[in-house]
Amino acid sequence: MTDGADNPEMEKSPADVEAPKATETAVDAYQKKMEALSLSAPEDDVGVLPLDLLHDILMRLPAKSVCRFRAVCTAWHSLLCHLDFIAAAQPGPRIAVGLCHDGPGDVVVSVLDMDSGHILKRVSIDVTSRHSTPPPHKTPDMSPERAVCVVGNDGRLHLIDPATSAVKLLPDPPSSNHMSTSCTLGYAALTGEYKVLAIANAAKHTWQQICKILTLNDNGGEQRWRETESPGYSLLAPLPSWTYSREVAVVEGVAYFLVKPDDAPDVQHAWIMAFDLGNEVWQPDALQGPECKYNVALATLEGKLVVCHDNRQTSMELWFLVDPDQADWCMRHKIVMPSLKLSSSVPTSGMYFGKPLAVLGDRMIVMWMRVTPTGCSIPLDTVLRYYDPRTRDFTDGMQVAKCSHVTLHTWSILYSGRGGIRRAALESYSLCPTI
Amino acid sequence: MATREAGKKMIMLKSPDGMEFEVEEAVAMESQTIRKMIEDDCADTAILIPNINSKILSRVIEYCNKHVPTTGATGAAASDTVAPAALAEDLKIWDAEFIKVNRATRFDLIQAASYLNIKGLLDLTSQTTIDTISDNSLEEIRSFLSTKNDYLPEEEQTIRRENQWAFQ
Repeated sequence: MTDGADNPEMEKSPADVEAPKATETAVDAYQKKMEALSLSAPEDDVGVLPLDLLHDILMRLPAKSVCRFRAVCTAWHSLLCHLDFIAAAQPGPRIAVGLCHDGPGDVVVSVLDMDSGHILKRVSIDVTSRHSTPPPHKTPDMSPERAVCVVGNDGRLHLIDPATSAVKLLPDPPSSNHMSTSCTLGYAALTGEYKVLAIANAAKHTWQQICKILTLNDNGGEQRWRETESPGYSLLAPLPSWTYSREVAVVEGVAYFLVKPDDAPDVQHAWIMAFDLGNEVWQPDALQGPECKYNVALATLEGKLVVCHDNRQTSMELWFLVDPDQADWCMRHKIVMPSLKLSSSVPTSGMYFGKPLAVLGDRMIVMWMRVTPTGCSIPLDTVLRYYDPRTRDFTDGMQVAKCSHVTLHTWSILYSGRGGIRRAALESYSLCPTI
Repeated sequence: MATREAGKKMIMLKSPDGMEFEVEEAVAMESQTIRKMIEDDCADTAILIPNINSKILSRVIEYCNKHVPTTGATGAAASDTVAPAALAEDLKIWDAEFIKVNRATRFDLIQAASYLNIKGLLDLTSQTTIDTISDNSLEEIRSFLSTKNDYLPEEEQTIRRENQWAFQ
């Protein structure tokens, strides 16, 4: 550390940059890295920036530049991939993840910028060829916090991590004579665990549904399904079902499902069953929703359960659950979508509401819509649509091909899923959630 | 504001190269570091600012001078009701002029802002640096850093593939 005497800033712990293994070359490697990292130039207009200040400045880089600059040199790669750096860096764009089924076995994940609806990246993930577990050193990181649950074409449940493209096959849920398994992934704050709730319809008796639950653990230990009771009503599940989309919403550790009101006292209303992911129990009674005659979806907005009543594709009412005990609902928005105001040239007849995803800081409501691509008659594509409640105007993001499901995520787009070339140095770090 | 104008207290700042700057206490207290010294009664007549030469220190004082009334009156952007938008706009234009310096000076200002803990100045200088480099090509960054691409070709390919979206 010859430079250390001249510049005390350089003596910052190597852990700030990377945690090299304790080998005799670690110091050499670190010194080399310091040289590579310091911001100085050969010309006359030299400026030298101590490492900690450079670090602070790089943390302000836009996410796209951070990812691009990883290719500058190995030293920058280590720094810009480091989990501590990512945790401290500018949050980057808020993201939504769209799942697209593209050909047999392939899931295309589109990561979208929540604020603009632009596609940031698309990754194709093969969910069939990985039934045999790959060797551990080839398995990219999988974090339950980022995971999306997908039912493959073979009916088996997979977790995919859109940040790292990792795929994990979950153990087979209920016996094979059940069809249309659906899974819901949620966080149980009570226990601090992520859990997957799988619900399968019996092949013969459509009323009968079997529920199993599985806890996802970080350490990759053995995961087993545990049987839980069945809900008192039969849940609405889409067919063919590779994931729930519109019929389920998870709010603060409780998964809410729309149920068929066959023997419900009032068919004019939406009916909802709630499953507590922490205690792993169904609430005994169905919750009465607002009056809904047509297409209904559940969503989470501003930490509340929301029933979206799609009034024959011309307007959408958003009912917020104000008081669960009293089944007290409040309609906060009635979104009218006149066909003439659509910014895309898509005919309205082929448009369907997905569901609202979030209320942005400027009160804009982001929702996903299913739209019909040109020359096609079915709504295969998806677009993020921004609704301004004040002006009642809409703007659309980019159209995502063949996308049928969109979820909101809070992980950082900076995650690359590995520490890069010097991956070993990162393995001692636990995955920490970032915003 | 009236009380501040009336009871103006002056502080002497000394740079290591022997220059002395007499500034209003309110201006000096734009620096959280100096504020702490004053509040802790560690500053009698003069405060020596180590590591910051007179050229840079004078620029820092210039910045604080310009910024003290605005922050003092309105508490920055927190209360838009008091701050006329025109004043903020004026300050923005002034900042843009102020930061038109060569890189060495800018880096010195970053270090000074960091040591003296002047958030506005640190933000301004850092953001300017970010703006100049964020769209640079990898080659420009490498020459800027006087570093070499030390990737093996296949390693670089992997990195580019993993971060593909950033190259589109």
